[in-house]
Amino acid sequence: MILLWLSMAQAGPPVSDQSPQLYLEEATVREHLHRQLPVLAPCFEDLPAAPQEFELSFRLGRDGRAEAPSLTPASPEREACIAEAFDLLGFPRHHEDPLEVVTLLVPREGRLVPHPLVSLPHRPKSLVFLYLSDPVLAEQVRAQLGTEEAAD
Amino acid sequence: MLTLWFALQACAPLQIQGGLPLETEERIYDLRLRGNFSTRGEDGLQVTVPDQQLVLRGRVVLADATLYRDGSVGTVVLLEELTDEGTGLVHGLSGRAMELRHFPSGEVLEVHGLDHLAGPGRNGDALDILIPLFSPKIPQVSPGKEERTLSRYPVRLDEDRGHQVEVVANWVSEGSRKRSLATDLRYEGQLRCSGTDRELQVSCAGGVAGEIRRDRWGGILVHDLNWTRTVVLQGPGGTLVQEQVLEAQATRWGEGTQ
Repeated sequence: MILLWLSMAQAGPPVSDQSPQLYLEEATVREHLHRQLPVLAPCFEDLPAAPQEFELSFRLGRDGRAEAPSLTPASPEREACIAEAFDLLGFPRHHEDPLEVVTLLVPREGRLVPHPLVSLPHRPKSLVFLYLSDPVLAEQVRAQLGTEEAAD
Repeated sequence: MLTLWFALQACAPLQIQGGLPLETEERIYDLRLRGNFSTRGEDGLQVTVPDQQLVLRGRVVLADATLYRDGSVGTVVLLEELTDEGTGLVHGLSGRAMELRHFPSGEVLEVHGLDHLAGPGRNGDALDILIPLFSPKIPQVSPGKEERTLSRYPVRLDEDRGHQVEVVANWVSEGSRKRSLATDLRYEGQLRCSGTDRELQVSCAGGVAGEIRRDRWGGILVHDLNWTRTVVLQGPGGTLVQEQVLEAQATRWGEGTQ
């Protein structure tokens, strides 16, 4: 009974110096994507030996699921293959709107080489404490006040 | 008898040494928020901004996610479902979350994720009333006595936009209710803030007034909080002034009528 009580008393939130992950940063998406590249590799096995790169964009939902892949140069068959492979991928859950992720896929000798480019959408900055429901008006006010635009 | 004592201990809330019980389960609140915003330009700034009104209603889920080494707790505040009653549409803050790192007294040390609540369509930084609404710094007040508190919390969006909000308030206790053992508290005070937004100087000043009903464990059942403040942004192009009147109410599900 004592052991039961001790184990229950010690349950609860973990002791930490880190905040929980509410929103995804590029480094986190990159890490998870690179770890899961082997799942996507079969979609590029038929490529000739000549080097070729593909720009892949996809949507990353709040539930951590990837969807809606789009390749440049366009390749509908490969996109369909990636869409199927996405069912096997997992990213952390987050509280952002569905994120549009852009990355580069670099097939080499039957595998995908990790590429450092993983970009997330630009998040425009508002003026702090100021309530302006119209984004266009907010942009005009910011410009008139003389504040330079800077992306997050 | 010893077995019974241990069994009771196992069912008790997790305790922080010297603090209030730490509720580890989710707490769900109904949120009502009404804001009126009147904006004008000064010092040569020519802007025409119509008066704006915001009426939000929805559900907020609080969950203690992290226990920090200094004894503070990281509570995730998830704005689960928020509807803009003016448009009838889901508000841009819906589904977003911030983490309040605070002590059990309600004193806020840090706010994580606030930068993701700010921005077009969300304006979460202008609705920072949500921070003290869900984490008020509550003093020990005896019925009939008055206590004064000074609370500060940071509104830091990024390296270019950092502010501190300071609230000085006088608290009185209305005592306990006979049946529910809930206690009622009222407070009034002043609010001010200062900081920068890139090259802008930002300041605000105003008044706060609130009422809190707590359960026997100190958990908040109902919190009504009203702010009236003037926000001033001074930049190279002039000065922008916004008068803000904010009324927020959080009512815990199933227990707000005790």
